[in-house]
Amino acid sequence: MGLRILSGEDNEFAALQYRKIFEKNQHSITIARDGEECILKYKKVLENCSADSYPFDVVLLDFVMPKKNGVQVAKDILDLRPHQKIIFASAFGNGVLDDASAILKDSIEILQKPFSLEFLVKKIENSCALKNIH
Amino acid sequence: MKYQKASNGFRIGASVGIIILMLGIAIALSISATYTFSNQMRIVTDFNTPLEKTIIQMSDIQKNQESVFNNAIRSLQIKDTQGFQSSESEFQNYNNLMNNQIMQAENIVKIGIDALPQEYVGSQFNLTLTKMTEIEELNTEYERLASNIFQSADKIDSTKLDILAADLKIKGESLYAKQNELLGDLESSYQNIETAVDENKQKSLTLEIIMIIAAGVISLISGYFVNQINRDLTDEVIKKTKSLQKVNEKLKKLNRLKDEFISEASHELKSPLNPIYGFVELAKCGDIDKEEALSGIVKQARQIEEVANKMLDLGKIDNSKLQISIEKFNLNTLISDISEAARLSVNENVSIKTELPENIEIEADKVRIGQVIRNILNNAIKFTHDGNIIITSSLNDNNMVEVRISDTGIGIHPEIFHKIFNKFATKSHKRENLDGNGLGLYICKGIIDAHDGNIQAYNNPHGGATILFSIPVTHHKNNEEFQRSLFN
Repeated sequence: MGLRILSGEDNEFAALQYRKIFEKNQHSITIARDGEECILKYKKVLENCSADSYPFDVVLLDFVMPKKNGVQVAKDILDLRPHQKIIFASAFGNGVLDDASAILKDSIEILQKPFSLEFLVKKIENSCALKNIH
Repeated sequence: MKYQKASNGFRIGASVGIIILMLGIAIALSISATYTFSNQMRIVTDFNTPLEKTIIQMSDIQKNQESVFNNAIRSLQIKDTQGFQSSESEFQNYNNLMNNQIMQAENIVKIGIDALPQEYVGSQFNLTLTKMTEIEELNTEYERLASNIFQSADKIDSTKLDILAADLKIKGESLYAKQNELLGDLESSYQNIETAVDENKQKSLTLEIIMIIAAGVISLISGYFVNQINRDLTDEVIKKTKSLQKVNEKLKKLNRLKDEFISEASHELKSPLNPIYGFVELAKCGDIDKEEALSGIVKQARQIEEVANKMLDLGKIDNSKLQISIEKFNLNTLISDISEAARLSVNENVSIKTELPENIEIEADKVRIGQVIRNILNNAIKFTHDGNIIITSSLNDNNMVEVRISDTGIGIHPEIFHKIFNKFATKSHKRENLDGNGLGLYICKGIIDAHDGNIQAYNNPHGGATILFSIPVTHHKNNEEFQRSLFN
């Protein structure tokens, strides 16, 4: 069964590529172009979810996004679902990401850009598999 | 402040100097007074003692003279001529002795007058000298009277002799009285000198007290000045510390912003790489065709180029090395082209309009002016989610062209309004949401400054913001060169 992925990515080309690669691998992906849209889409799917289920298996967030940055979006999502799996994709250096990960929780992973699309798919699939085992 | 410090320093120095001087004077006065008084006492004692002795001897001599005179009278009464003559001779000897004593006493007094200061005991000795003169005169008369008696004793009758003897006795008593008076004077001179010493001691003590009080007052004044200087210095140190703290804070902030900018710049340069790799990967797998991949790669490469150019511009502006390449072009055509391109990227709720009533040809750097217009327009689009953006151009009487870009967006936040053209001014502001590096308007200002122009920003009365810039229609610096290029 494919994974449900929510991606917050303001680069239209990156977003297009995510869609292509995840759909090719039988996963469904929802794209949001900015932080606020990302939260709105998360909430919209959440409305139809039961109390113990998650609207998405993984939320893939760009660190820098218009209107609300990735960290703010992650905080809002974790307020709604504290154990939501979130993966950051960022081109920032380690120092900036370290500061962010200190604020956020263990359920968050960070991927350093640039990375291959194949690596991204494997990373997300493995993370979800591990989460299911736990 | 420096002058005040020097003045205060001088005041303290002068005060300390005066205090030391006053204390020194007080001590010197005390020593001087002690020395003077003890010296005077010694001198008075040195002179009075022999003088007293001499006067006492004079009295003794006179007693002897009286005794000898009485013997002579008795010898005369008993017709003892030899006894009379012997007494006369003896009387004469005493006369000589008396004269010697008087001269000795006068010499002592004269030496005393020369040696002692007039204001203390000199006047006493002057009086003594006068009395000595009187004694001398009395003695001369006494001697003359006695000599007359001795010479005429055998020629006058006894009654006459008794009268002369009585006169001599009276003269002798006067002489005694004068001698005793002088002895009394000498006695009282000790008391006078003691009184004078006491008075002078009192004066000296009073003066010392005044000096010490004055020194104390000056010390207090000096203390006040020192305190004031300390306060001034403390205030200055606090002021400087605050100033340095402010500078330090500014530097820290600038450093932080620079670090953030470097991080941001590296992010901006790295971000387009991911889609580039993505395009390559998808094209390789055949998920997208090569044309699509190459088109995407070119766009991402341009984005990298833009970021790199911004960073280069920043370096040039910071080092005042931004160079402009002047050419003649139609400003309205440039604005129309930029607006047309921008319309393709805005959402349907935003309209971009142009009001370009005149055909304006200017001499400027076309690429850089285009960069300025594009940057301001992109900002207007970013902050206008729903509404209009209007671009106008106009010529004014001062050979300047003005470009005005107004929007109906959220306007400029008061916190950043006054520094909107500063470097990193808008960076990290809550409205920015980390989108933007805070350099766009700084670079715009750098470009307009390089054209000898002016750039301003204000919030519109009914919402939104306006950025306007004006530059000379003709570029003055290279005007001659430009004219030459036109004719050549």
